[in-house]
Amino acid sequence: MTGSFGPIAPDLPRDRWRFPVALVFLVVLLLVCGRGVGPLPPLGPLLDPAFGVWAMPARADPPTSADARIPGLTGTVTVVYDDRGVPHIFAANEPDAYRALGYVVARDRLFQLELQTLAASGRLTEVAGDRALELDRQMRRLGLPHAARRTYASLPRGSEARAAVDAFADGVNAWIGELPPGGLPIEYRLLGRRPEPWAPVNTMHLLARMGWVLAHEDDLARARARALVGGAAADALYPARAPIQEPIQPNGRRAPRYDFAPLPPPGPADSAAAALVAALPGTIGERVPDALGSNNWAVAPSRTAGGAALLAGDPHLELTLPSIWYETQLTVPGKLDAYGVTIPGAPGIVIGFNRDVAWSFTNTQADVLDYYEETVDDARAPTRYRVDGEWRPVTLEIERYRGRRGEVIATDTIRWSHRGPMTRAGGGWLSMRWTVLETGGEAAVLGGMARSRSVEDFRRITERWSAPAQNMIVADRGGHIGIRTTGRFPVRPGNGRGDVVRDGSTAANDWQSDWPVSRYPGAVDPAQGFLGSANQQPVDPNVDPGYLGADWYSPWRAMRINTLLRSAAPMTPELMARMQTDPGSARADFFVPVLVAAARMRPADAGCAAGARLLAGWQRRYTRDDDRAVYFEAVMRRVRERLWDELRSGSRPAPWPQDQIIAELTGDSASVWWDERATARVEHRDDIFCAALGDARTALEKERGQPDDARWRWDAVNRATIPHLLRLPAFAARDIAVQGGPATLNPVAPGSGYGPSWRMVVELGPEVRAWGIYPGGQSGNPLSVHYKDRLERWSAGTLDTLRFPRRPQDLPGTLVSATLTLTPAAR
Amino acid sequence: MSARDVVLFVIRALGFALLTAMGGWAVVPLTAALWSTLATAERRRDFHLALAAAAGWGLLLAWGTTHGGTARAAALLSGIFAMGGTRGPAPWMFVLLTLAIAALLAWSAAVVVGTLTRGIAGRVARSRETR
Repeated sequence: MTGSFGPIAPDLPRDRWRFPVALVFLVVLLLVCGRGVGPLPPLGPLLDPAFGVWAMPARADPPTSADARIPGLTGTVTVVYDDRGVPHIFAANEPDAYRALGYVVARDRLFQLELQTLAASGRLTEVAGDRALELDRQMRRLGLPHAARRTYASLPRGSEARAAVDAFADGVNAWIGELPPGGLPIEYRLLGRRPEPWAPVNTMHLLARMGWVLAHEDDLARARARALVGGAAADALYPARAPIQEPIQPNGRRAPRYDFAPLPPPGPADSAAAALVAALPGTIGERVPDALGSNNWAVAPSRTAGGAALLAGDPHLELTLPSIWYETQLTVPGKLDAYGVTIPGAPGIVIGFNRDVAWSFTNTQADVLDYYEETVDDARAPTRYRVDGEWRPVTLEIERYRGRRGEVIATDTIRWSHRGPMTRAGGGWLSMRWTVLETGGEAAVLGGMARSRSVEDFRRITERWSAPAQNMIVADRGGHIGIRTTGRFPVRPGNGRGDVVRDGSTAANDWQSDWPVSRYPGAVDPAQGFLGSANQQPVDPNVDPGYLGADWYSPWRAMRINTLLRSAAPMTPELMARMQTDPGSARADFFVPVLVAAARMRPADAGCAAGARLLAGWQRRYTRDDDRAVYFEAVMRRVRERLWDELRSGSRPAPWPQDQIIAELTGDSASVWWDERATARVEHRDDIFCAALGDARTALEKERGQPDDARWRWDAVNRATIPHLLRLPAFAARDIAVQGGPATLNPVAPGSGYGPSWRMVVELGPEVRAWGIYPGGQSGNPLSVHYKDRLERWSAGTLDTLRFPRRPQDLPGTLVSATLTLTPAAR
Repeated sequence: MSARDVVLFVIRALGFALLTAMGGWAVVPLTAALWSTLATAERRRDFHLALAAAAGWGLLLAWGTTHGGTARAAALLSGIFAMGGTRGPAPWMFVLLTLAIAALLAWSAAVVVGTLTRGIAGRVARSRETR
């Protein structure tokens, strides 16, 4: 042997090559197995046959019987898992119930808990490196992590909310503490991470993030439109008064009211708005109007077959695997007995029912976020801002972003005025005020809702809910139903509108107070015998003209719900469940006759006439086998593109107005909006409709063959994909055929990743009966039988029976998949 | 191969399986290195240790199969390594890869440590002869 190995050289000639080769192998293997190389995770822990992926199937589901110890627990807690993987938690007191909840949620969804927290607290770079820096910056610059920390600090020690949040953390940390090596979720293995201890403030991060997810941002979208077509036109395109009135608070009508008026023509660009838009970073995502949204409704006993109140709810959110929801039952004898879905990280039931009351939410889309243009001392790095002639100090916070190995990869200075976080806008600065940053009582409200005993009780408890604003529907066993648009709604000076950027140099432009709860839109036990909401304008402005928001979703889904509820035979839970995937469309009912009529006005246009014939016989139902919905949607897309050409010019286009504005324009066939600016001739309504009918048919035939081709079927187009949290294709559910479409009650938009995230129907009879489902399953482990065991039933629109035992032994043995006994452990 | 060799092989395979189940993948090179220094007189011991390590891990995978998991885990790994494509490598390749990793870890550690040990021992012996 020669070279550096000389002094200890082996004796045999054949060892000459073996040693260096083996050494290289060993070093490379230890590197590949121990640390990972490039995008490859460390292969050692991944492929370890005892603790790696190979060992995961054996630990994917709870053993039929297990014991665990949780620090802080004061008594024994029994957790019974049913055949759907739902843990039914029976505890002696509420903190123990929340400890157990933390434990079982962590057992099933540990990685989701951590990833959500990292996203909400602007720390994704610690997992994804530089790639996530902009997302993290956005989160921190919105002030969400700051608000979460402040909210947690403001919870009084000993308060019910603080106790619940802390107890939940105990449970999560107990699971993390006893996590067997083989129990580490696959995502951690792929990322080469270990779970962090769960801090109680993480719950607040999660709630703040929900506020952000459900935020409805008007001001900047409106500014873009104003920059293109002026203020008057922008106000008409994104109006505070929806042109179709079918409000949440019944207005005494038995049909929608069409408040159609001519739209002001496009005006000259607003230069101030254009400067603001040009200065602001980022883009507003392309939105498909009326494509998505949540539904809920309740029916009084007078209209139900069983003589008991019925409630249905299906919130529409981002669909992921695992789901945003986790199903559970929390029972504390004499105090709490509730079932429903929680968001992993929240100590309580968010949407669900107890023995007396059921409740669900839809998002209000209220305008609770305002911008102010601040006068600052230094446009580059302001330290003071002026209000009413006096300089006030800007609060500075240094934010550090860390990489995968904990190293600081970037820093950021976040500035705060008394209104909220500040953003640089060109040469100036905007500050933002947002109710989500000023919340505090939501965690306590969650517990209160689960304990409520009546509609009245529920409404009293939820008065403290401030953000995100929700249309809360509730029904009780006494036969009462109620709904209220609940949240904190600021009263602004002047015309009261919040969809403008205000001058921050005067305190007179600040929020003056909040709406009193008594003014919140809502109703209890209306004469019509039912209530419902679908993200539409909550109150008829003829009843209360106060400004709650603008650019409301078109009420197509609300119209469909109300049509079905008005016309249905005595309502049953089965009919309620069928309604949740109803394929009918009030939007198609409105536009198809208008399109067909337009074709009649242009008899010479053969393409238009042929297109109109396709629609004339259409049943307007988005069933999977329907072969005209694909055409109708193609026509509507082309109408939108031709009609709103004024909004698409320049590099910062304005978002599409809702389709109810197109409906409004149909009453003014010669409106200048119908004219396409790119053509020499002047188009009217029927020209645009005919062109869209012809173009869409030609394009679809080219793409999909003749109209009788199977490729025209709705399920050839409308297939949902539900991604994994890390967007790993192997863990996603792809190509799921779903019934329903834009503006129907079951809008699952392909590619958008949004849809009905939880469907629930509750009958509040002498014994509460309930049914529900969400896409996916209880477990976040892709190898668990409960990872996506519900997908097929969700896709088919069927609901599972929800078991709601009073005692652990009330759940039949055939339905028990596992029993977990939790006992106290020393801290 | 003598009966003694077979018994030794089985003991080593069981040892690798047991120690991996107790300490994880990293015990394989350590165990192989240790055995390599103990069995200095054995011909082709590095190769035997590699085979035993693969067999030990194979036993663990076989145990997983009886619990219905190995095929599901292999399919999952195939999906993970599809790297954005619709189909990943064949699932059985991950079984092979796992066994290969065990064998290579054991072989390389045994060769490196065995060589160094013998080298040091030889040097000590020569220096004694010189004295």
